[in-house]
Amino acid sequence: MSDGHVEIRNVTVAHASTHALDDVSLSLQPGEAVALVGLSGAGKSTLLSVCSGMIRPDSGSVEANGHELAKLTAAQLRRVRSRIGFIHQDFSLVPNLRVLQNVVSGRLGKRSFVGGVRDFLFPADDVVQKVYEILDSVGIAEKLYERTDRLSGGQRQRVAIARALFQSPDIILADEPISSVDPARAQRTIALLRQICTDRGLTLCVSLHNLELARAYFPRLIALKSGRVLFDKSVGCITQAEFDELYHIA
Amino acid sequence: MRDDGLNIGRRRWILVGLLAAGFASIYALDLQWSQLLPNAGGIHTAGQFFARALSPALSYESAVPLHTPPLLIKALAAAWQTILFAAAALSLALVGGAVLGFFASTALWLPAGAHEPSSGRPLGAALLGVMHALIRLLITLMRSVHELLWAVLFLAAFGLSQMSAVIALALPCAGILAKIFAELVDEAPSEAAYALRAAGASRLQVFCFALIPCAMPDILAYVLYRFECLLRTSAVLGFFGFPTLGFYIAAAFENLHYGELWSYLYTLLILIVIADWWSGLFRRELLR
Repeated sequence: MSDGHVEIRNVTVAHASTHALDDVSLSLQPGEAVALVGLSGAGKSTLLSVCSGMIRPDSGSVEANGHELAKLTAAQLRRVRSRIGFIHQDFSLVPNLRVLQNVVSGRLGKRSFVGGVRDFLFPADDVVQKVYEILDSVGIAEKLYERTDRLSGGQRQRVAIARALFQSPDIILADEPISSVDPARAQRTIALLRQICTDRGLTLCVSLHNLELARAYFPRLIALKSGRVLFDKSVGCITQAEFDELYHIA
Repeated sequence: MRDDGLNIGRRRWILVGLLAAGFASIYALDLQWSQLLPNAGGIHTAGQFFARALSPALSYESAVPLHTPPLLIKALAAAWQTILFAAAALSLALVGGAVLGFFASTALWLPAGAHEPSSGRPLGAALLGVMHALIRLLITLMRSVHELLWAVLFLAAFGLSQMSAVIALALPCAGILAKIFAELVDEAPSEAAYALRAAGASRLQVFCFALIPCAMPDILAYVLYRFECLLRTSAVLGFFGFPTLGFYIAAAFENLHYGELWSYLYTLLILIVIADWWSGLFRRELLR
Protein backbone atom coordinates (compact mmCIF):
# COMPACT_ATOMS: atom_id res chain seq x y z
CA MET A 1 0.00 0.00 0.00
CA SER A 2 1.26 3.48 -0.87
CA ASP A 3 -1.53 5.36 0.98
CA GLY A 4 0.04 7.76 3.40
CA HIS A 5 3.38 7.66 1.66
CA VAL A 6 5.13 10.87 0.59
CA GLU A 7 8.30 10.85 -1.47
CA ILE A 8 10.16 14.01 -2.42
CA ARG A 9 13.21 13.75 -4.68
CA ASN A 10 15.64 16.60 -5.38
CA VAL A 11 12.96 19.28 -5.20
CA THR A 12 13.99 22.84 -5.96
CA VAL A 13 11.63 25.81 -5.71
CA ALA A 14 12.89 29.23 -6.76
CA HIS A 15 9.67 31.27 -7.07
CA ALA A 16 10.18 34.86 -6.08
CA SER A 17 7.03 34.91 -3.91
CA THR A 18 7.87 31.97 -1.64
CA HIS A 19 10.77 30.89 0.49
CA ALA A 20 12.96 28.79 -1.72
CA LEU A 21 13.83 25.11 -1.49
CA ASP A 22 17.17 23.84 -2.72
CA ASP A 23 17.51 20.20 -3.75
CA VAL A 24 15.37 18.76 -0.96
CA SER A 25 14.74 15.01 -0.75
CA LEU A 26 12.80 13.19 1.93
CA SER A 27 10.44 10.33 2.43
CA LEU A 28 7.50 9.96 4.83
CA GLN A 29 6.31 6.44 5.58
CA PRO A 30 2.62 5.63 6.14
CA GLY A 31 1.65 6.30 9.75
CA GLU A 32 4.86 8.14 10.53
CA ALA A 33 4.97 11.32 12.64
CA VAL A 34 7.55 13.92 11.63
CA ALA A 35 8.25 17.48 12.74
CA LEU A 36 9.72 20.03 10.36
CA VAL A 37 11.90 22.45 12.31
CA GLY A 38 13.92 25.51 11.41
CA LEU A 39 13.87 29.29 11.51
CA SER A 40 11.11 31.20 9.79
CA GLY A 41 11.93 31.64 6.15
CA ALA A 42 13.76 28.30 6.04
CA GLY A 43 11.19 26.92 3.58
CA LYS A 44 9.01 24.81 5.91
CA SER A 45 5.71 26.15 4.57
CA THR A 46 6.93 25.88 1.00
CA LEU A 47 7.88 22.25 1.58
CA LEU A 48 4.41 21.42 2.97
CA SER A 49 2.74 23.17 0.04
CA VAL A 50 4.91 21.18 -2.35
CA CYS A 51 3.75 17.95 -0.66
CA SER A 52 0.09 18.84 -1.31
CA GLY A 53 0.71 19.97 -4.87
CA MET A 54 -0.20 23.60 -4.12
CA ILE A 55 3.25 24.70 -5.21
CA ARG A 56 4.77 23.06 -8.23
CA PRO A 57 8.55 22.67 -7.88
CA ASP A 58 10.84 24.01 -10.58
CA SER A 59 12.66 20.71 -10.63
CA GLY A 60 12.53 17.36 -8.88
CA SER A 61 9.56 15.08 -8.29
CA VAL A 62 6.86 14.81 -5.64
CA GLU A 63 4.93 11.63 -4.98
CA ALA A 64 1.97 11.45 -2.60
CA ASN A 65 -0.13 8.34 -2.01
CA GLY A 66 1.81 6.68 -4.82
CA HIS A 67 0.95 9.35 -7.44
CA GLU A 68 3.57 11.54 -9.02
CA LEU A 69 1.87 14.94 -8.72
CA ALA A 70 3.39 16.53 -11.84
CA LYS A 71 1.93 13.79 -14.06
CA LEU A 72 -1.65 14.13 -12.82
CA THR A 73 -4.51 15.86 -14.60
CA ALA A 74 -6.33 18.60 -12.69
CA ALA A 75 -9.10 16.14 -11.71
CA GLN A 76 -6.61 13.50 -10.56
CA LEU A 77 -4.71 16.10 -8.56
CA ARG A 78 -7.97 17.10 -6.83
CA ARG A 79 -8.52 13.45 -5.86
CA VAL A 80 -5.03 13.16 -4.39
CA ARG A 81 -5.47 16.45 -2.53
CA SER A 82 -8.78 15.26 -1.11
CA ARG A 83 -6.75 12.57 0.73
CA ILE A 84 -4.34 15.11 2.23
CA GLY A 85 -5.59 17.10 5.21
CA PHE A 86 -3.87 20.47 5.49
CA ILE A 87 -4.05 22.50 8.70
CA HIS A 88 -3.08 26.09 7.94
CA GLN A 89 -1.28 28.53 10.19
CA ASP A 90 -4.21 31.00 10.17
CA PHE A 91 -6.77 28.11 10.25
CA SER A 92 -8.24 29.44 6.95
CA LEU A 93 -11.86 29.04 7.98
CA VAL A 94 -14.81 31.03 6.63
CA PRO A 95 -15.59 33.25 9.65
CA ASN A 96 -19.29 33.87 9.05
CA LEU A 97 -20.24 30.22 8.55
CA ARG A 98 -21.31 27.69 11.16
CA VAL A 99 -18.74 25.25 12.48
CA LEU A 100 -20.70 22.43 10.82
CA GLN A 101 -20.38 24.08 7.41
CA ASN A 102 -16.67 24.74 7.79
CA VAL A 103 -16.03 21.11 8.75
CA VAL A 104 -18.24 19.77 5.97
CA SER A 105 -16.34 21.84 3.41
CA GLY A 106 -13.32 19.60 4.05
CA ARG A 107 -15.04 16.88 2.05
CA LEU A 108 -15.83 19.00 -1.04
CA GLY A 109 -13.00 17.39 -2.99
CA LYS A 110 -14.81 14.07 -2.79
CA ARG A 111 -18.24 15.47 -3.61
CA SER A 112 -19.97 16.54 -6.80
CA PHE A 113 -21.07 20.17 -6.95
CA VAL A 114 -24.68 19.28 -6.14
CA GLY A 115 -23.57 16.93 -3.36
CA GLY A 116 -21.51 19.78 -1.93
CA VAL A 117 -24.50 22.13 -1.98
CA ARG A 118 -26.57 19.49 -0.19
CA ASP A 119 -23.89 18.91 2.47
CA PHE A 120 -23.60 22.63 2.92
CA LEU A 121 -27.23 23.69 3.13
CA PHE A 122 -29.18 20.52 3.99
CA PRO A 123 -26.68 18.07 5.50
CA ALA A 124 -28.00 14.52 5.91
CA ASP A 125 -28.34 13.19 9.46
CA ASP A 126 -25.39 10.82 9.09
CA VAL A 127 -23.19 13.70 7.87
CA VAL A 128 -24.14 15.80 10.92
CA GLN A 129 -23.54 12.76 13.12
CA LYS A 130 -20.07 12.21 11.63
CA VAL A 131 -19.14 15.90 12.03
CA TYR A 132 -20.39 15.74 15.61
CA GLU A 133 -18.20 12.71 16.34
CA ILE A 134 -15.14 14.38 14.84
CA LEU A 135 -15.80 17.60 16.77
CA ASP A 136 -16.23 15.44 19.86
CA SER A 137 -12.84 13.83 19.24
CA VAL A 138 -11.23 17.29 19.23
CA GLY A 139 -13.27 18.35 22.26
CA ILE A 140 -15.69 20.96 20.86
CA ALA A 141 -18.78 18.90 19.98
CA GLU A 142 -21.09 21.47 21.55
CA LYS A 143 -19.95 24.10 19.03
CA LEU A 144 -21.50 22.26 16.07
CA TYR A 145 -23.94 25.03 15.14
CA GLU A 146 -21.94 27.99 16.47
CA ARG A 147 -20.80 30.72 14.09
CA THR A 148 -17.09 30.19 13.55
CA ASP A 149 -16.10 33.81 14.25
CA ARG A 150 -17.64 33.54 17.72
CA LEU A 151 -15.10 30.90 18.75
CA SER A 152 -11.83 31.50 20.57
CA GLY A 153 -8.53 31.02 18.76
CA GLY A 154 -8.02 27.60 20.30
CA GLN A 155 -11.52 26.47 19.34
CA ARG A 156 -11.09 27.69 15.77
CA GLN A 157 -7.88 25.75 15.57
CA ARG A 158 -9.82 22.62 16.54
CA VAL A 159 -12.38 23.35 13.84
CA ALA A 160 -9.52 23.48 11.34
CA ILE A 161 -8.27 20.11 12.62
CA ALA A 162 -11.80 18.70 12.42
CA ARG A 163 -12.14 19.93 8.84
CA ALA A 164 -8.93 18.13 7.89
CA LEU A 165 -10.12 14.95 9.66
CA PHE A 166 -13.50 15.08 7.90
CA GLN A 167 -11.62 14.59 4.63
CA SER A 168 -10.80 11.06 5.86
CA PRO A 169 -7.22 11.77 4.87
CA ASP A 170 -4.25 9.41 4.70
CA ILE A 171 -1.83 12.26 5.35
CA ILE A 172 -2.10 15.31 7.60
CA LEU A 173 0.15 18.28 6.95
CA ALA A 174 0.11 21.09 9.50
CA ASP A 175 1.82 24.43 8.94
CA GLU A 176 2.71 26.04 12.29
CA PRO A 177 -0.64 24.99 13.77
CA ILE A 178 0.20 26.38 17.21
CA SER A 179 1.71 29.72 16.29
CA SER A 180 -1.36 31.67 17.44
CA VAL A 181 -2.30 29.93 20.69
CA ASP A 182 -0.86 30.11 24.20
CA PRO A 183 1.89 27.65 25.24
CA ALA A 184 -0.33 25.39 27.37
CA ARG A 185 -2.86 25.03 24.58
CA ALA A 186 -0.06 24.56 22.06
CA GLN A 187 1.15 21.50 23.90
CA ARG A 188 -2.36 20.04 24.18
CA THR A 189 -2.96 20.63 20.47
CA ILE A 190 0.21 18.85 19.42
CA ALA A 191 -0.59 15.98 21.78
CA LEU A 192 -4.09 15.81 20.31
CA LEU A 193 -2.82 15.77 16.72
CA ARG A 194 -0.32 13.04 17.53
CA GLN A 195 -2.97 10.98 19.32
CA ILE A 196 -5.50 11.27 16.49
CA CYS A 197 -2.98 10.41 13.81
CA THR A 198 -1.64 7.44 15.78
CA ASP A 199 -5.18 6.14 16.42
CA ARG A 200 -6.15 6.42 12.77
CA GLY A 201 -2.79 5.40 11.33
CA LEU A 202 -2.34 8.72 9.49
CA THR A 203 0.96 10.11 8.31
CA LEU A 204 1.60 13.38 10.13
CA CYS A 205 4.02 16.11 9.17
CA VAL A 206 3.98 19.29 11.29
CA SER A 207 6.14 22.36 10.89
CA LEU A 208 7.03 23.80 14.29
CA HIS A 209 8.89 26.78 15.64
CA ASN A 210 8.93 25.25 19.07
CA LEU A 211 11.88 22.87 19.25
CA GLU A 212 10.99 21.56 22.75
CA LEU A 213 7.56 20.40 21.58
CA ALA A 214 9.03 18.92 18.42
CA ARG A 215 11.52 16.89 20.45
CA ALA A 216 8.94 15.85 23.03
CA TYR A 217 6.25 14.63 20.66
CA PHE A 218 7.94 13.55 17.44
CA PRO A 219 10.27 10.60 16.97
CA ARG A 220 11.78 12.08 13.81
CA LEU A 221 12.82 15.65 13.06
CA ILE A 222 13.62 17.15 9.68
CA ALA A 223 15.54 20.40 9.97
CA LEU A 224 15.50 22.95 7.18
CA LYS A 225 17.95 25.81 6.93
CA SER A 226 17.91 28.29 4.02
CA GLY A 227 15.88 25.89 1.91
CA ARG A 228 18.16 22.87 2.43
CA VAL A 229 17.79 19.83 4.68
CA LEU A 230 20.28 20.30 7.50
CA PHE A 231 19.50 16.98 9.15
CA ASP A 232 16.79 14.31 9.01
CA LYS A 233 17.13 11.98 11.99
CA SER A 234 15.34 10.27 14.80
CA VAL A 235 15.23 12.61 17.74
CA GLY A 236 17.66 10.65 19.92
CA CYS A 237 20.47 10.82 17.38
CA ILE A 238 20.55 14.60 17.01
CA THR A 239 23.54 16.23 18.67
CA GLN A 240 23.49 19.56 20.46
CA ALA A 241 25.95 20.84 17.86
CA GLU A 242 23.39 20.15 15.13
CA PHE A 243 20.67 22.05 17.00
CA ASP A 244 23.07 24.93 17.55
CA GLU A 245 23.86 25.06 13.86
CA LEU A 246 20.15 25.00 13.00
CA TYR A 247 19.38 28.09 15.05
CA HIS A 248 22.64 29.87 14.46
CA ILE A 249 22.00 32.91 12.32
CA ALA A 250 24.97 33.45 10.07
CA MET B 1 8.84 59.49 4.17
CA ARG B 2 9.45 61.74 1.22
CA ASP B 3 7.44 59.36 -0.95
CA ASP B 4 4.47 59.76 1.39
CA GLY B 5 4.76 63.51 1.16
CA LEU B 6 4.76 63.38 -2.62
CA ASN B 7 1.80 61.02 -2.55
CA ILE B 8 -0.26 63.34 -0.33
CA GLY B 9 0.67 66.26 -2.57
CA ARG B 10 -0.47 64.42 -5.65
CA ARG B 11 -3.75 63.38 -4.04
CA ARG B 12 -4.35 66.99 -3.02
CA TRP B 13 -3.96 68.14 -6.59
CA ILE B 14 -6.27 65.39 -7.85
CA LEU B 15 -8.94 66.58 -5.38
CA VAL B 16 -8.47 70.21 -6.45
CA GLY B 17 -8.69 69.11 -10.08
CA LEU B 18 -11.94 67.22 -9.48
CA LEU B 19 -13.49 70.22 -7.73
CA ALA B 20 -12.39 72.49 -10.59
CA ALA B 21 -13.95 70.09 -13.11
CA GLY B 22 -17.22 70.20 -11.18
CA PHE B 23 -17.35 74.00 -11.25
CA ALA B 24 -16.30 74.03 -14.90
CA SER B 25 -19.29 71.86 -15.81
CA ILE B 26 -21.65 74.19 -13.93
CA TYR B 27 -20.13 77.11 -15.84
CA ALA B 28 -20.39 75.25 -19.17
CA LEU B 29 -24.12 74.59 -18.64
CA ASP B 30 -24.63 78.24 -17.65
CA LEU B 31 -26.57 77.21 -14.53
CA GLN B 32 -28.25 80.09 -12.71
CA TRP B 33 -30.54 80.13 -9.72
CA SER B 34 -32.91 82.41 -11.59
CA GLN B 35 -33.72 79.45 -13.84
CA LEU B 36 -35.61 77.94 -10.91
CA LEU B 37 -37.99 80.93 -10.93
CA PRO B 38 -40.93 79.93 -13.12
CA ASN B 39 -42.94 82.30 -15.31
CA ALA B 40 -46.40 83.46 -14.24
CA GLY B 41 -48.25 80.37 -15.58
CA GLY B 42 -45.62 78.14 -14.09
CA ILE B 43 -46.01 79.74 -10.67
CA HIS B 44 -49.72 79.02 -10.84
CA THR B 45 -49.18 75.33 -11.72
CA ALA B 46 -46.44 74.91 -9.13
CA GLY B 47 -48.68 76.53 -6.53
CA GLN B 48 -51.54 74.15 -7.34
CA PHE B 49 -49.23 71.18 -7.32
CA PHE B 50 -47.51 71.88 -4.02
CA ALA B 51 -50.72 73.07 -2.38
CA ARG B 52 -51.99 69.48 -2.54
CA ALA B 53 -48.91 68.04 -0.89
CA LEU B 54 -50.52 68.32 2.53
CA SER B 55 -53.94 67.18 1.34
CA PRO B 56 -53.50 64.16 -0.93
CA ALA B 57 -56.70 62.77 -2.41
CA LEU B 58 -58.41 59.90 -0.60
CA SER B 59 -60.91 59.39 -3.40
CA TYR B 60 -61.00 60.13 -7.12
CA GLU B 61 -61.02 63.75 -8.21
CA SER B 62 -63.32 63.12 -11.13
CA ALA B 63 -66.13 60.75 -12.02
CA VAL B 64 -64.95 57.20 -12.57
CA PRO B 65 -66.71 54.21 -14.16
CA LEU B 66 -68.82 52.03 -11.89
CA HIS B 67 -66.95 49.18 -10.09
CA THR B 68 -63.66 51.08 -10.16
CA PRO B 69 -61.88 50.11 -6.92
CA PRO B 70 -61.40 52.90 -4.37
CA LEU B 71 -58.35 55.14 -4.97
CA LEU B 72 -56.35 53.78 -2.05
CA ILE B 73 -56.96 50.17 -3.09
CA LYS B 74 -55.82 51.11 -6.58
CA ALA B 75 -52.68 52.74 -5.19
CA LEU B 76 -51.92 49.65 -3.12
CA ALA B 77 -52.50 47.39 -6.14
CA ALA B 78 -50.13 49.57 -8.17
CA ALA B 79 -47.57 49.37 -5.36
CA TRP B 80 -47.96 45.59 -5.37
CA GLN B 81 -47.37 45.50 -9.14
CA THR B 82 -44.30 47.71 -8.63
CA ILE B 83 -42.96 45.20 -6.11
CA LEU B 84 -43.73 42.24 -8.40
CA PHE B 85 -41.82 43.72 -11.35
CA ALA B 86 -38.86 44.58 -9.12
CA ALA B 87 -38.81 41.16 -7.43
CA ALA B 88 -39.07 39.25 -10.71
CA ALA B 89 -36.30 41.37 -12.22
CA LEU B 90 -34.08 40.91 -9.16
CA SER B 91 -34.55 37.12 -9.26
CA LEU B 92 -33.40 36.97 -12.88
CA ALA B 93 -30.60 39.49 -12.24
CA LEU B 94 -29.32 37.46 -9.28
CA VAL B 95 -28.93 34.32 -11.39
CA GLY B 96 -27.37 36.22 -14.27
CA GLY B 97 -25.18 38.29 -11.97
CA ALA B 98 -23.91 35.23 -10.07
CA VAL B 99 -23.00 33.32 -13.24
CA LEU B 100 -21.39 36.31 -14.98
CA GLY B 101 -19.75 37.38 -11.72
CA PHE B 102 -18.07 33.99 -11.40
CA PHE B 103 -16.63 34.24 -14.90
CA ALA B 104 -15.66 37.89 -14.43
CA SER B 105 -13.82 37.28 -11.15
CA THR B 106 -10.29 36.00 -10.82
CA ALA B 107 -11.75 32.94 -9.04
CA LEU B 108 -11.12 31.21 -12.36
CA TRP B 109 -7.40 31.45 -11.72
CA LEU B 110 -7.56 30.58 -8.06
CA PRO B 111 -5.38 30.39 -6.12
CA ALA B 112 -2.23 32.45 -6.68
CA GLY B 113 -2.11 31.48 -10.33
CA ALA B 114 1.66 31.31 -10.59
CA HIS B 115 1.94 28.29 -8.30
CA GLU B 116 -1.05 26.32 -9.42
CA PRO B 117 -0.17 23.63 -11.94
CA SER B 118 -1.88 24.92 -15.09
CA SER B 119 -2.30 21.30 -16.26
CA GLY B 120 0.07 22.20 -19.08
CA ARG B 121 -2.44 23.71 -21.51
CA PRO B 122 -1.34 27.20 -22.58
CA LEU B 123 -4.07 27.24 -25.26
CA GLY B 124 -6.69 26.60 -22.58
CA ALA B 125 -5.30 29.43 -20.46
CA ALA B 126 -5.36 31.80 -23.46
CA LEU B 127 -8.98 30.87 -24.25
CA LEU B 128 -9.84 31.45 -20.60
CA GLY B 129 -8.27 34.91 -20.82
CA VAL B 130 -10.24 35.79 -23.96
CA MET B 131 -13.46 34.54 -22.38
CA HIS B 132 -12.77 36.57 -19.22
CA ALA B 133 -12.30 39.73 -21.32
CA LEU B 134 -15.46 39.04 -23.36
CA ILE B 135 -17.54 38.48 -20.22
CA ARG B 136 -16.26 41.73 -18.75
CA LEU B 137 -17.18 43.52 -22.00
CA LEU B 138 -20.66 41.96 -21.93
CA ILE B 139 -21.16 43.11 -18.32
CA THR B 140 -20.10 46.65 -19.25
CA LEU B 141 -22.53 46.67 -22.18
CA MET B 142 -25.39 45.53 -19.96
CA ARG B 143 -24.61 48.23 -17.43
CA SER B 144 -24.00 51.06 -19.85
CA VAL B 145 -27.61 51.09 -21.10
CA HIS B 146 -30.12 52.35 -18.55
CA GLU B 147 -33.24 50.36 -17.62
CA LEU B 148 -35.48 52.91 -19.30
CA LEU B 149 -33.50 52.75 -22.54
CA TRP B 150 -33.70 48.94 -22.49
CA ALA B 151 -37.44 49.32 -21.90
CA VAL B 152 -37.76 51.56 -24.97
CA LEU B 153 -35.83 49.00 -27.05
CA PHE B 154 -37.87 46.04 -25.80
CA LEU B 155 -41.17 47.87 -26.19
CA ALA B 156 -40.27 48.55 -29.82
CA ALA B 157 -39.19 44.97 -30.36
CA PHE B 158 -41.71 42.94 -28.34
CA GLY B 159 -44.53 45.33 -27.54
CA LEU B 160 -46.02 46.06 -24.14
CA SER B 161 -45.55 42.79 -22.25
CA GLN B 162 -44.59 42.03 -18.67
CA MET B 163 -41.64 40.04 -19.98
CA SER B 164 -40.14 43.01 -21.81
CA ALA B 165 -40.46 45.15 -18.67
CA VAL B 166 -38.84 42.54 -16.43
CA ILE B 167 -36.00 41.89 -18.86
CA ALA B 168 -35.43 45.63 -19.25
CA LEU B 169 -35.13 45.93 -15.46
CA ALA B 170 -33.07 42.75 -15.07
CA LEU B 171 -30.40 43.34 -17.75
CA PRO B 172 -28.55 46.35 -16.31
CA CYS B 173 -29.13 45.05 -12.79
CA ALA B 174 -27.51 41.71 -13.70
CA GLY B 175 -24.58 43.63 -15.18
CA ILE B 176 -24.14 45.73 -12.05
CA LEU B 177 -24.50 42.71 -9.75
CA ALA B 178 -21.98 40.73 -11.82
CA LYS B 179 -19.46 43.55 -11.53
CA ILE B 180 -20.03 43.93 -7.80
CA PHE B 181 -20.00 40.16 -7.17
CA ALA B 182 -16.71 39.84 -9.06
CA GLU B 183 -15.14 42.75 -7.17
CA LEU B 184 -16.36 41.69 -3.72
CA VAL B 185 -15.28 38.11 -4.32
CA ASP B 186 -11.87 39.22 -5.54
CA GLU B 187 -11.45 41.34 -2.42
CA ALA B 188 -12.70 38.63 -0.04
CA PRO B 189 -9.97 37.06 2.13
CA SER B 190 -8.56 34.17 0.14
CA GLU B 191 -7.13 31.97 2.93
CA ALA B 192 -10.23 29.80 3.20
CA ALA B 193 -10.39 29.55 -0.59
CA TYR B 194 -6.79 28.41 -0.67
CA ALA B 195 -7.50 25.83 2.05
CA LEU B 196 -10.45 24.36 0.17
CA ARG B 197 -8.40 24.25 -3.03
CA ALA B 198 -5.69 22.39 -1.11
CA ALA B 199 -8.35 19.91 0.07
CA GLY B 200 -9.27 19.12 -3.54
CA ALA B 201 -12.29 21.39 -4.06
CA SER B 202 -13.00 22.58 -7.61
CA ARG B 203 -12.90 26.25 -8.62
CA LEU B 204 -16.69 26.41 -8.69
CA GLN B 205 -16.87 24.84 -5.21
CA VAL B 206 -14.26 27.27 -3.88
CA PHE B 207 -16.26 30.15 -5.38
CA CYS B 208 -19.54 29.00 -3.86
CA PHE B 209 -18.42 27.67 -0.48
CA ALA B 210 -15.52 29.94 0.47
CA LEU B 211 -15.45 33.16 -1.56
CA ILE B 212 -19.20 33.87 -1.71
CA PRO B 213 -19.75 33.22 2.03
CA CYS B 214 -16.78 35.46 2.90
CA ALA B 215 -18.21 38.25 0.77
CA MET B 216 -21.84 37.53 1.75
CA PRO B 217 -22.46 40.42 4.18
CA ASP B 218 -21.38 42.97 1.55
CA ILE B 219 -23.14 41.14 -1.26
CA LEU B 220 -26.38 41.02 0.71
CA ALA B 221 -26.24 44.72 1.56
CA TYR B 222 -25.66 45.57 -2.08
CA VAL B 223 -28.39 43.25 -3.43
CA LEU B 224 -30.92 44.82 -1.05
CA TYR B 225 -29.84 48.28 -2.15
CA ARG B 226 -30.32 47.20 -5.78
CA PHE B 227 -33.82 46.02 -4.87
CA GLU B 228 -34.62 49.51 -3.67
CA CYS B 229 -33.29 50.96 -6.95
CA LEU B 230 -35.38 48.41 -8.88
CA LEU B 231 -38.50 49.48 -6.98
CA ARG B 232 -37.99 53.08 -8.08
CA THR B 233 -37.26 52.13 -11.68
CA SER B 234 -40.16 49.70 -11.72
CA ALA B 235 -42.44 52.57 -10.65
CA VAL B 236 -41.06 54.80 -13.43
CA LEU B 237 -41.61 52.03 -16.00
CA GLY B 238 -45.30 52.81 -15.51
CA PHE B 239 -44.73 55.86 -17.73
CA PHE B 240 -44.52 53.38 -20.64
CA GLY B 241 -47.89 51.84 -19.78
CA PHE B 242 -46.98 49.07 -17.35
CA PRO B 243 -49.44 48.92 -14.42
CA THR B 244 -46.96 50.13 -11.79
CA LEU B 245 -47.20 53.33 -9.73
CA GLY B 246 -45.67 55.42 -12.52
CA PHE B 247 -48.61 54.70 -14.80
CA TYR B 248 -51.06 56.27 -12.37
CA ILE B 249 -48.69 59.09 -11.48
CA ALA B 250 -48.41 60.03 -15.16
CA ALA B 251 -52.17 59.74 -15.66
CA ALA B 252 -52.94 61.90 -12.61
CA PHE B 253 -50.43 64.49 -13.77
CA GLU B 254 -51.92 64.66 -17.27
CA ASN B 255 -55.43 65.07 -15.84
CA LEU B 256 -54.19 67.76 -13.43
CA HIS B 257 -55.42 65.60 -10.51
CA TYR B 258 -52.70 66.78 -8.14
CA GLY B 259 -54.38 65.27 -5.09
CA GLU B 260 -54.30 61.81 -6.66
CA LEU B 261 -50.77 62.48 -7.83
CA TRP B 262 -49.65 63.09 -4.25
CA SER B 263 -51.46 59.97 -3.06
CA TYR B 264 -49.46 57.89 -5.51
CA LEU B 265 -46.22 59.70 -4.67
CA TYR B 266 -46.77 59.06 -0.96
CA THR B 267 -47.52 55.41 -1.71
CA LEU B 268 -44.15 55.19 -3.50
CA LEU B 269 -42.43 56.94 -0.60
CA ILE B 270 -44.00 54.55 1.94
CA LEU B 271 -43.03 51.61 -0.28
CA ILE B 272 -39.37 52.68 -0.30
CA VAL B 273 -39.39 53.36 3.46
CA ILE B 274 -40.86 49.91 4.14
CA ALA B 275 -38.35 48.29 1.76
CA ASP B 276 -35.52 50.09 3.56
CA TRP B 277 -36.78 49.03 6.99
CA TRP B 278 -37.37 45.46 5.84
CA SER B 279 -33.93 45.11 4.24
CA GLY B 280 -32.30 46.27 7.47
CA LEU B 281 -34.28 43.69 9.42
CA PHE B 282 -33.50 41.02 6.83
CA ARG B 283 -29.76 41.69 6.97
CA ARG B 284 -29.68 41.61 10.76
CA GLU B 285 -31.56 38.32 10.87
CA LEU B 286 -29.60 36.64 8.10
CA LEU B 287 -26.17 37.72 9.25
CA ARG B 288 -26.72 36.92 12.88
